[in-house]
Amino acid sequence: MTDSNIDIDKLNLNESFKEEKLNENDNDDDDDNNTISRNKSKKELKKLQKQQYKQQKKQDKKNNKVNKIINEGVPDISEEKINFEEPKTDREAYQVEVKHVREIYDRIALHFDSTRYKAWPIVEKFLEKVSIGSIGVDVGCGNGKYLGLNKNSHLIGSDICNNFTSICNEKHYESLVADNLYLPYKSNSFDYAISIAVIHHFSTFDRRTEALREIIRVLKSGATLLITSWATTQKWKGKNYDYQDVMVPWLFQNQFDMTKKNDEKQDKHISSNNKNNENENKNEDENENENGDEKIIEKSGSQYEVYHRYYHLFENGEFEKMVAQIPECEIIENNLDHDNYYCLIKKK
Amino acid sequence: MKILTHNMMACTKKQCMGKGFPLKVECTEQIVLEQEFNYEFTKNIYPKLDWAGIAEISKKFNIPIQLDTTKHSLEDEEFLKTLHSLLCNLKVITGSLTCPNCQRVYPIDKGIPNMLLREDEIYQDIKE
Repeated sequence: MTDSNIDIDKLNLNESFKEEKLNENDNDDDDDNNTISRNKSKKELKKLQKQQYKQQKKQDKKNNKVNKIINEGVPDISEEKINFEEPKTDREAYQVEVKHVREIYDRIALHFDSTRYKAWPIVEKFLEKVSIGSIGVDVGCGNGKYLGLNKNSHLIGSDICNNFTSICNEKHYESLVADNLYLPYKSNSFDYAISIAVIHHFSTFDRRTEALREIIRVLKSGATLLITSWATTQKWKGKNYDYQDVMVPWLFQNQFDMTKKNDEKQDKHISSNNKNNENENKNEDENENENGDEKIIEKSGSQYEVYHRYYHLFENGEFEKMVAQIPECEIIENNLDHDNYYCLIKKK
Repeated sequence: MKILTHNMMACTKKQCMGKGFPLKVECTEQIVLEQEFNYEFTKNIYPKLDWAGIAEISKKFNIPIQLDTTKHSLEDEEFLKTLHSLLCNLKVITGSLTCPNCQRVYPIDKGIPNMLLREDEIYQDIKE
């Protein structure tokens, strides 16, 4: 008897266990009203939690996007493969670079400046070592973050983007507007040169090689160039590119608009955003609207625009291939640091 | 544009390679900065200078400086002070630079020379 009792208890236990398991799976068709209501509230709670979790995740993702860009200038929006065909002529390449590099930087220069202030230790070390009274060039100086690092050297910055040179001038740095391919300097004149994150903005191998050749031209014999470029392995940003020619987005905040007087453009943005607000997506606090090449995003009252810059991401051995075309120079060191290739090239 | 920068510059056109300097300076606005004299810096800069460029500036701004390099002495502190002041303290704000070879005029605005060639200048030899 005792044995069978135990067996029944066991069976009951098993059944109740089974029931609980079913409840957990949200598939039970139990007739017990209490169980249904309990399960329903449980279900609802779970659904709600799931929703909240999803929303939170979405919000975090959005915040992350914005913060990352504002704080580090590292875009975290998934890269778009905009049909990029290698330009057929040099002039076509020139036009691609004007449209997808020069004009974009001119637009975002002020915003870019607010995100780029930390010197890259490798560049810092290089500049610290140059001797007193040396004269150098920073080709593609951007907002001039390296121009004031060594007061004992005369470092001239140049950039193709007019707004960048204005920013440098406001910081009392020497800067001029010039094309990397047509540097306004005498040959064999400089003690050193830097080219930081510039060469990857040229859209053909020939143009990248010519840009390098032009920097070597203005260097003295024995002088060194520190040149860096983005690499295809962008692992630290959680990405790994499987193609080399990419359009990298920049989420531009309108507060950095250098052409605020351009009322027409502003009005266009506002009206397109208003139109968006009338949409069903009222609960969404982020509305995206395609407007030709640029995207407008409204987020918590601020307006953003997405601009894409062209990059040719470097593969291992690419600097070697370029240097092989220029007999006047040789590679001293070539390494990968934080997904950037940095290369020390000496003029023979 | 400081004068030391001018001393390194040349016309950007490939046809002017080796002939496009010193650039002729026109100046309608300039400022004088107050950077302290640095002996070591000036002494090391000296051998890198192009004296045809210094002569161009000396004439333009009417600044007396010994142009005969055989009479220069790096022990002469007065000379180095004048040179340092000329190179690092005089800054052209508005004006232009003209190539002595092709006569191309590059504007200087708000202290920044614009040395960019137009698209039609870059591709003038290519027939579309």
